[in-house]
Amino acid sequence: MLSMDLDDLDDAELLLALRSQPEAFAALYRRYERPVLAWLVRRTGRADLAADLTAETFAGALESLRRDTGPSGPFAPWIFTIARNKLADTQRRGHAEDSARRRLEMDPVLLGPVELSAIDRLADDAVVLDLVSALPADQREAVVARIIDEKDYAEIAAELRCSELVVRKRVSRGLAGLRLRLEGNAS
Amino acid sequence: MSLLPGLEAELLGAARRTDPSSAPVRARPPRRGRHHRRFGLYSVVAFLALSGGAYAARGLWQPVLGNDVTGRPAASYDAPPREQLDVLGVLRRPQTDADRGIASSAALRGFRPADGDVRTGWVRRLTTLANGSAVVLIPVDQRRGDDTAYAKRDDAQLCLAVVPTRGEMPAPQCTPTSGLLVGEGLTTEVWDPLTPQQERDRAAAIRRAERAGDLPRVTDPNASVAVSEKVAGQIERATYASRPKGGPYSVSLVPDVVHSVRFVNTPGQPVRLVRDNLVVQHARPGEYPSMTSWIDVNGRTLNADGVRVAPSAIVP
Repeated sequence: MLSMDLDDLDDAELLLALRSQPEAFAALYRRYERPVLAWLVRRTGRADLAADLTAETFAGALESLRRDTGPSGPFAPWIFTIARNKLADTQRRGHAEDSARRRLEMDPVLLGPVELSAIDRLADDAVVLDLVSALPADQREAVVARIIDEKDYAEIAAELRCSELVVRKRVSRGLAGLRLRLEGNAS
Repeated sequence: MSLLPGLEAELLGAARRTDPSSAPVRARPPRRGRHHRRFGLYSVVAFLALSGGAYAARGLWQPVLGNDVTGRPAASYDAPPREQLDVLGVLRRPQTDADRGIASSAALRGFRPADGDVRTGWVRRLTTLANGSAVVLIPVDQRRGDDTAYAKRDDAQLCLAVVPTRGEMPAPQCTPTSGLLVGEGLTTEVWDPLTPQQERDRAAAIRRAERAGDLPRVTDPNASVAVSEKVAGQIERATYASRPKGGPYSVSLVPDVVHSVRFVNTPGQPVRLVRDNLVVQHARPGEYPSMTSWIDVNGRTLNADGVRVAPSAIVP
């Protein structure tokens, strides 16, 4: 099976595939990298620490899977449990551990200003996307299409079967609502 | 697309090494201990080890240029034009390991395609400022996307990139060779990096000001924009920063003929020596050391009162 196909498998299938295809773990990493990074950066407030903990989380997960002590249920809550434990360890020790990575002989990874900035933004994005999902349905559709998917107003209007003016109003009201809620969050 | 492709690659490597279905498992050679433990700068060192290997093997330094977010500029293996080599000794000396070090790699990863094709063999690390920021000279042989009159008639550019110890790297400052030849030099301002709290305060201030409609917007077509920034109205990226408390560093690239530089509009008019074609002045808060006089090795002022220097005085 080509590694490209792995991304189409669900988590349980990937865990099975991992027994014969190491690439399956890379697919799991790609799937859960952003959620785990976002979760950690929101709790630590530090992009570098969040990246460090993410690396240790996935390294720990790989070790467990190789010892056949993987998840008894779905992968998602399991990987977040590992992340939560790694975070708790870090808070207790005052620094992030790297024992799993050392045992796996993993080298450090380049983490420059661009990566750090992108990780920082994950925290903001996670908050905003939560707020987007709480918008009224018509505004949510319009905001997602315009702001996240970056579609033209004409294209959105055709999809939603309404006029461009209506779409613009929905986007405008949705953004106004989001900004108000963001301000509320900030204060 | 992965945010940390390097980590994905490392995890994949670890998964392969521990794959029970492929025997025998080949271990990695012993590592050099715990020094590789941390992300961040140490990780850049690891990256550089790879870059150095490529350099040694192929005779050319082939660093990673740009990134997946802002795009990847091309490399140029042509030497800079004679007019640059004639006036900048730092380009005539051989490239060193320090030139190919952490700072230069970070600077090149922040370089955008619109900045030009990078002459990788002539990248030079010029200095490290007292605040830890590194200054890197990046010659380019084309400045695409720039429609200034200079760029139209002179596509050999010189860029100064400043790599801060934390936070986002500012866009490099670039000048065509002609700018250097008429005595304008290439100057960039460097501020102390903002603390995380200052970054948050700045973002909040920008949002407040934009909502009130009292702040102009700066268009940066290459900026990567997060959803949160779009919602906050920063589709056109705002680059006006709330400044840190310390004054700026004025960092100028000057030709060989300049031995020292007098900072004319700074109290006491301090004179700073040029090293590696670079002169640095750290201003106090509120000072903006923009006006300079160039002084040659004989103490002669080359461009008093901002008068441009005749090319004959610069080109040997």
